[in-house]
Amino acid sequence: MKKIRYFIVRALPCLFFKLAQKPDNIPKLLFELSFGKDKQFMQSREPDSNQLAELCKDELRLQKLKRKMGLCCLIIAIMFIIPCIPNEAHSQESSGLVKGKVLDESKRAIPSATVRVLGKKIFILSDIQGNFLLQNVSRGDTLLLSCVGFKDAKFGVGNGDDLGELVLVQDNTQLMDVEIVSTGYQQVPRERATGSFVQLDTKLLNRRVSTNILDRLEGVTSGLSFNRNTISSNGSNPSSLSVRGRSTIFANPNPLIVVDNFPFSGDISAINPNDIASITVLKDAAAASIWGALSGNGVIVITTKKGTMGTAPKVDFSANLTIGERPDLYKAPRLSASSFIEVEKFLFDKGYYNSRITSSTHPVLSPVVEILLRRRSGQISSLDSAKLIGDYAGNDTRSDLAEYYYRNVVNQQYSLSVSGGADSHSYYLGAGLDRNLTSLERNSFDRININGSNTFLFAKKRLEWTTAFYYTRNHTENNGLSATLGYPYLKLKNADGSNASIPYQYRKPYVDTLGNGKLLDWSYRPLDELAQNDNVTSLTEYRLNTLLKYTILRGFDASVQYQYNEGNGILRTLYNQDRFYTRDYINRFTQISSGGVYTRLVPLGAILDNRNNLSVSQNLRGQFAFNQKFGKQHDLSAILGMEAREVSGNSASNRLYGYSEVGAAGAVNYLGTFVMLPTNSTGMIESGLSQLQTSNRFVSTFANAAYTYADRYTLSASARKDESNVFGATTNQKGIPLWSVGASWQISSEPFYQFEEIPYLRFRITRGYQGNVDNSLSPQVTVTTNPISLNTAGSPYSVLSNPPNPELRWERIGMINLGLDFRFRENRVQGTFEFFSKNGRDLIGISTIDPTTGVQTFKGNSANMNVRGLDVTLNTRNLVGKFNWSSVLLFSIARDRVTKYLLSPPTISAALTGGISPIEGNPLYSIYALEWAGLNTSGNPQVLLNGLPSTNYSAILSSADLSNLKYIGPVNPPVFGSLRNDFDCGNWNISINISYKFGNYFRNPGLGYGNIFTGNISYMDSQYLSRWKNPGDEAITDVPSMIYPANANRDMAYNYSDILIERGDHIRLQDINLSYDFALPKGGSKLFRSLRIFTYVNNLGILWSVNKLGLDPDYLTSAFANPRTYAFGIRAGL
Amino acid sequence: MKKKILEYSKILLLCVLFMGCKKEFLEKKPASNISVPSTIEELRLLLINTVDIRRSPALGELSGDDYYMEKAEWSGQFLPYFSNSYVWSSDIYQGAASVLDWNTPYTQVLYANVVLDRLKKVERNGGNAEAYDELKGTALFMRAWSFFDLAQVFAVPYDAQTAATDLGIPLRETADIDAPTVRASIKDTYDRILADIGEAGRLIRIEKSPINGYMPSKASVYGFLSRVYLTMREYPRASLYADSALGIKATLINYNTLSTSATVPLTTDHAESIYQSTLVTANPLVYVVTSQGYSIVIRCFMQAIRRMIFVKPFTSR
Repeated sequence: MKKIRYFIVRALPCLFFKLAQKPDNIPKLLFELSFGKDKQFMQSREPDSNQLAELCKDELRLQKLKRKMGLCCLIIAIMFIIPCIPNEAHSQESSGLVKGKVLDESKRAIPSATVRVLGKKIFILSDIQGNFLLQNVSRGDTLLLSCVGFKDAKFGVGNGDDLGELVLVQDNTQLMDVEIVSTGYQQVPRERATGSFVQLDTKLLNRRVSTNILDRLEGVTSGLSFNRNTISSNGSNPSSLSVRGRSTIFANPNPLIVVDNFPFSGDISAINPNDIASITVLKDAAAASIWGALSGNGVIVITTKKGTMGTAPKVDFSANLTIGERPDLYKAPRLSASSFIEVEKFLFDKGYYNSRITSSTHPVLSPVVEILLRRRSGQISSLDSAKLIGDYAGNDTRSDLAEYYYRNVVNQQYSLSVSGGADSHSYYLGAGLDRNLTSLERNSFDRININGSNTFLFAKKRLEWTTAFYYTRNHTENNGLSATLGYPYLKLKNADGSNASIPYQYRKPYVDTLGNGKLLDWSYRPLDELAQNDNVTSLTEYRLNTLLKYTILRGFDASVQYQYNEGNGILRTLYNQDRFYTRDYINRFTQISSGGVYTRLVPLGAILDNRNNLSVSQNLRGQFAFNQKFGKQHDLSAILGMEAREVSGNSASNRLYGYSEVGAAGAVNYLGTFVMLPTNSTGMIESGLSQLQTSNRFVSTFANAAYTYADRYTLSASARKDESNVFGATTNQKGIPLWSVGASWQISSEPFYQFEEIPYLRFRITRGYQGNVDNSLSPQVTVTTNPISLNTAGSPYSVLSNPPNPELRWERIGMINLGLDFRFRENRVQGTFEFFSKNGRDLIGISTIDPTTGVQTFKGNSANMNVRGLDVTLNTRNLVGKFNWSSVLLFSIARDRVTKYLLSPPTISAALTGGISPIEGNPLYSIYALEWAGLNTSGNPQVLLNGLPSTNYSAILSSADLSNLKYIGPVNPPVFGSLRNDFDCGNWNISINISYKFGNYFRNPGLGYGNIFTGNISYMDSQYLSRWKNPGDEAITDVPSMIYPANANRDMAYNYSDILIERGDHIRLQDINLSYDFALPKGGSKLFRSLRIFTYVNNLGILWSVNKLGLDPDYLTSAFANPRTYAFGIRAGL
Repeated sequence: MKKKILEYSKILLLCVLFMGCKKEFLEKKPASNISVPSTIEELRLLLINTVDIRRSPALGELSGDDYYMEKAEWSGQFLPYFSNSYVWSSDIYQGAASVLDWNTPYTQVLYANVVLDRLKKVERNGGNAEAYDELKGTALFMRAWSFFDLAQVFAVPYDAQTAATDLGIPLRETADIDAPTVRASIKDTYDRILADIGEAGRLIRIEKSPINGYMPSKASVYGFLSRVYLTMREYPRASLYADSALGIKATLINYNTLSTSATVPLTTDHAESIYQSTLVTANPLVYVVTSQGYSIVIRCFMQAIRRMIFVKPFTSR
């Protein structure tokens, strides 16, 4: 323990001072601290300061940054020296000393028991051995000892200064401790909250092993759904995470994330999950509307760990290693090599490739087509061509991809923290290190976190001062290749083991002869590309937070809070001269004069793209809080405050041609339009320059109050008004406050309530409005000027982006929440039922408008949506005793429906293909289909048009009469939840989580000949093989015949018909956590306070699924499902 | 108690200060590339847009005799609009959702009206008078251009006898999208066009367009006036203004020097150009009628049509 104290008192300030003097060494020092002095590693990852300056291309900025960082380090260092001085609080000598030892009935020490002197404001916590030492105690005083899980006990102070052993009796009825939920503005005892909250504690958050904090919410948070397949099925504006369904169309669809009382504007991946103490999800208006215009999609409040006053230093350490299986590429639908070759032969015979073969732009041909062409022109015999093609038919690119593109996931995570506190001071210092090797070869993610906080009490403990800092550095390498190769039979390695070149963009025979050897090599070798990719993103983020709180009167305090958050992301992509991109770029801009002189407009050397994103957010809040009990029956708590917030961003990018370590080549002509090789089209050399500054500002006023009478009846109300620079003055003035009211009734506390089986029963009801905003709109006429796109005279111009819309206002989401909380005797069953209805009003929607106005469609507050649902949480203790078995069932329903939308899909085709094209009465993201009427006798698909089978595909698809369209169901599952079972036996604990999703639909990819012809082969081979081939086949198959030329509408009629609709319902074995707690002597061993080892298996697979095609409904759009991962880890407390 | 009052009043003072700064705090614009155009330069950037505006209806050209289609190509047209307009069908659009020939000229009218509306809030003084007039003249010229384009395609030809009762086109003279759309008479339509060009002619001082011909000059004003009078069958005036235009710029290109095999024989900034407006389709230079048939290259309007230059068989994109 002394060593640790030494570390805090001496080593840390020294370290920070060192950093303060040489701030540009921070990354190096951190690496040293984390990795040891592995110079090799440091040199390969960290550019020296010269290089850094070059990257930024702005020495001044760097200097400024250095100065800023230096200042920060100094502040941090000071913050850390102060706390360490008075740290010996409990050993200070003074008169009236009394000591004792708190024990339980079996004489085991009780740490952290509160020892209070009645009538005096003196209290202390017992230490790990149960010992305590109190000052200023006089004879005749009474000590009140209390601890969670034990009955309170009083002991009188006699003559002696040693009270000896004080025994507390276990209290089995008191096991439910008072849960405090955080709204980001205040701490509310759950029993008095009327709103809807989900609280996740450290234990639950640590159940899962993950790098990202949000992943840990999956499957354990009632009402929170993770939407997969958001890319293609949902069309635009998808959200990966939603609280109680979707209630907006074009505005921000993501929940607000609050970290330490302020909206988090940084990158969520910068947060170290081991630093998180708890997460509260605010689901209804009473809980969330205090966040006003940002709260429409729910709020996730993340609270980081802090020290506790009056505790000895605690050290916590954790380490874990996650190993993931290689991705399974064979699950995704893909045409086999032999099928694809069959298609290519078919097309070749039909003359499909003729125009490509003779085209003056020389587009690429597949290896098989090249062979067929050589056969046709008599260069090879039919025997040879059959053999060559036969070789290809036996290949499967996926085996090469699996071997060279993918690998096992290996994630390492370490964290170390020290926390504790003295009488009027507490501190927390944490550090974390993550090193992830992702499943794509050459992709990695490294993260270093350091954070600390201090809380001091001054002025007779009336003034509280908290300071905190967070420093994160992420280093992401994105060098993997995930692009699937078009042809299913390509090999990545030649027979001799060298890296193979594959057909890419242009026909090789042409480009090889084009430059008479004077052009750079134009071949594409995927494995060389993979080896040379150099794409690095580094993100440095720091956050400083300070709070001053003054207790003016008892139960009445005023506070000021300020937070500064800066994230600096640098994205650097280096295309060295060996990369295809660079060679191609240089070749394209090589000019050949009539005299055969070659001029390179783009110089030899690498191409370097730099992108810099700086984001700064500042928050300032002033708040009064009141919390007072009047008499025995009345309890009033209220807050009133005001805050200002600015989130500003600055992004800039540039590109260097002819780049080498020494510098960049001279100027390149960005203004000229040149004829490019090998296609002879014209183009300009990209300057890669861009610059954008953004600034969103808000000023808000808020208040809430809750009144509880007799611990049974609670009334609550809140109101908030937001103003922003996005909307301009008129809207701000007109803005009506977002508000909520709520009430709760604890029936079980009524004198008449006699039902002993359910000792706790409470009803809650709330009503109110949350808000949402679409930043892209403005009430005034606005123009956008893009410096990159130029008019025909080569100068930048403006586009009218917004016609004036003086009626523009916040989106409002009205919510009603009805809740029932209950608890059976002995906590055998406890749970919550909640019903909610969300009404999105004034949602931004598109409506048509008279085009004579100059605009054809108009975005304004014209749409409404409704979401209705249910959240059920049931905790049961099934077996209690030596063997404990408890279960948690989460069950949620969230059905959304667009209730008003002024622009119906213009055609059936628009409704089918997705994007945002809602139909009133259905969910925003819906699956529609055409009614299938079988194949006709020539193998053509038929769908119903006005009740009759039809093959007039274009008439059906371009029809605006939506009665021929069949509504199938929602894309996102409206019913979801999980069942978690925990088994405890002695020191062993096993926790198994099963998740389920019901009620959603998806499309079997079907078979699209038009796409296959152009090389897209993501279809199931079985579909292709079972296609209609001969008359009569229509009786046994539904797959249309292959015709030439392909007809896109015919393909669509089949692919969007209802026979290809599958149900998404499935049950998944999400994860298993097995842990073992070492039995330590009560009160801790000499070394450890606690010690746990665990293993965790994630993504175990689907247990049951309606669709029998082997498709995972959660991973339809990705090349593979999340691979199974195995983690092993240790958590130790010292 | 006194102390407490002092403390409260301090906090109150802070709040008041906070409120005082609020208005300024919220006036910052949300993104550097978005602005509410209010200066002459910001408004000018709107009018030099050659992508979204400076477009004319294609219907006249599609139904004209400058090119021809074979029956097979005609029947294989992707959009009914192309085949219908070629044979002067009574229903050209067949319920198409968007009619570019109507919509895009009115977009240009909106751009011009935004500039004219917002210019009223800019003070014209000695320092900016020239730029102010130039911009106002350009906006009026472009609005008149679109009104004239629309009148050619969507209204009956001008007849002095019936012009007061014949229906013309809606004349939108404000950017307010809530203003009602009312169809004016042919007489009002042409009066408006002539008045706008006339005022543009007084405001635009530049004789010849210096770059690229996309900003109107005195030469384009006269040329435009001549064309309007020609359609109104006021031939003496048409002749007079044509003469004025040619008096400023009468450059001729020798077509023998042009490459008839080039994909684009004439670029938009050729020597004869005095103002440019392209057809409403996606590609401003090449009007692709069919992937197998023919494309016509349309350029500045005051050109003699020569098939070798303007009508080219479609080979490759």
